[in-house]
Amino acid sequence: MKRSLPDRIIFTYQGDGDLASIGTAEIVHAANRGENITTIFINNAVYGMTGGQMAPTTLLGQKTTTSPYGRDAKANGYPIRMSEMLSTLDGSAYIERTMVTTPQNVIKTKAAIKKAFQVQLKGLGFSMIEVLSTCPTNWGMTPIESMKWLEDNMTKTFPLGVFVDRTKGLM
Amino acid sequence: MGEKFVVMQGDEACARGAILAGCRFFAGYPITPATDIAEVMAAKLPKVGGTFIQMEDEIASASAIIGASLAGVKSMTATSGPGFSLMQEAIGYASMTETPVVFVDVQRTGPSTGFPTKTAQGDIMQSRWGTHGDHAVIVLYPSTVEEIYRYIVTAFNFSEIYRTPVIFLMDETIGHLRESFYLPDPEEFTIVDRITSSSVDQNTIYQPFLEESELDDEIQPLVPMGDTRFHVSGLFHDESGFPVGNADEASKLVKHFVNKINLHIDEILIYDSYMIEDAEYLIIAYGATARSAYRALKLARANGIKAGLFKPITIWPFPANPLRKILSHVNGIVVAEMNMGQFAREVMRINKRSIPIETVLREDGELIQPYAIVEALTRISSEHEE
Repeated sequence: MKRSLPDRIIFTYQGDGDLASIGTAEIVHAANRGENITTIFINNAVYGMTGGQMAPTTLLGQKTTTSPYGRDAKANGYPIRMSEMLSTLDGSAYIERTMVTTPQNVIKTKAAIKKAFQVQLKGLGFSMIEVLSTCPTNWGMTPIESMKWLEDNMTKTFPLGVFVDRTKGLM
Repeated sequence: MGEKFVVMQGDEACARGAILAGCRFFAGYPITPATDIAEVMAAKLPKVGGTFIQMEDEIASASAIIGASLAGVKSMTATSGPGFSLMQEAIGYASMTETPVVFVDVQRTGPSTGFPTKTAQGDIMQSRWGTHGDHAVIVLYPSTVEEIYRYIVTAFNFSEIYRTPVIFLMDETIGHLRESFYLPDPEEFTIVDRITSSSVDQNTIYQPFLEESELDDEIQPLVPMGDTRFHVSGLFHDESGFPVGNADEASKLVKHFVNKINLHIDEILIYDSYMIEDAEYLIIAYGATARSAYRALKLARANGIKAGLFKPITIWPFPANPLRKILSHVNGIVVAEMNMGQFAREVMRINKRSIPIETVLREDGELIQPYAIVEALTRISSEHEE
């Protein structure tokens, strides 16, 4: 769409099951081609819409409906860090990981998303913001417990930060 | 007896029946309404020494089960329409390499992601012709939870006997249905296992495929790759599995794929018929629709319409001969299915006497209700009497 309508803002909103599993090939190559689009990547460590199956981002030991005995690296592999992986590609202009557990973090996330769209407006290439978020229903927790679990556990596997920034001097 | 009265969900019956059939490898990707099969496999397979892998998508899932089967382990995947579309290339590869594998497709309303949680019977033609090129397939279609449990075993047996992918079509309605039945004693079932290495002649090189002169309805036993070594390829190949570029050999191989199924059609066709003997009007329905049709049959009979019901379990190969026999003595046909007439077209192809056909179709994600079939029967019978 961006190639057909280059003057429009194009973004994708993708979950971890999509972006880190069935859509891996497509996101890697979109980033590698430096497609001038923005991706908002929501990572909640589980397939939410289909009812709580293991995602590529599920933490080791985490129980889901398809890892009922807990995620075991030997059987199920390791949680995949997409932001780090995509930041190795020359087509990626800006990639940052944030979380939305507190008002301050929401404000930081908004700033990151704004920057990603500015990258697109400047035509600098692929931009992505990975947002760590909760899934109280499939994690079997209250929303408050979920936010604590995210901060205590998810950020260890998925550290926050900017992984690539090729905008210096250009914005 | 050993029989136990159980309440079971269709998807669970599929997983448990597969384990009974000897399935020890499952690769899949979450998709409603087939996810429950993967969830049961994830919990149960490790306990019987089997392997469950959640793959990154359906293409990988389909490829993984082919590899596992070539290694000698009975293998299955389960998906729904969008995933089944992605698996089509691998189904062709399994046909070409004559690898026994079972693909379960719990259908939902399509095309594309459609209605994930609503029912449909729209994959009739995709199950037959979804992969490219000429080939034969076996497609089984249960209509109750108990039939799922029983016929998934048959699906594995057929895949082993005929060295072919077998497709097991289910309705979302039956996959998600919880139904009570007497769980059959495992002793009741015949389980067809893979040939073992003891039957391989150690003095000759194992040929995974038939020699050109034998290519017809014979089937070459498939020895697990771990017990011997051989080559497989999606290209046309000779008996060694290595590619050939010869038109004559390619033609013989394609005909072999078709003949090995069609020449054994009498063993492969499974169907039920109800009140056919004196029937003047025939209902044809499968899966969940057959259950509405059965009710319609009773209602029509109570109204004085002599109806009968033909319920195919094997939908591919198409049950042409059994149907022709019934069509020779009826005055009208009603085909009911949850698509825009995919199976009905096949019925029309064999309706040489041009018996009037009514179709009762739905493509909106809702079940066909018995009264709609009764109305069609009433219409077709009153037209005949005029």
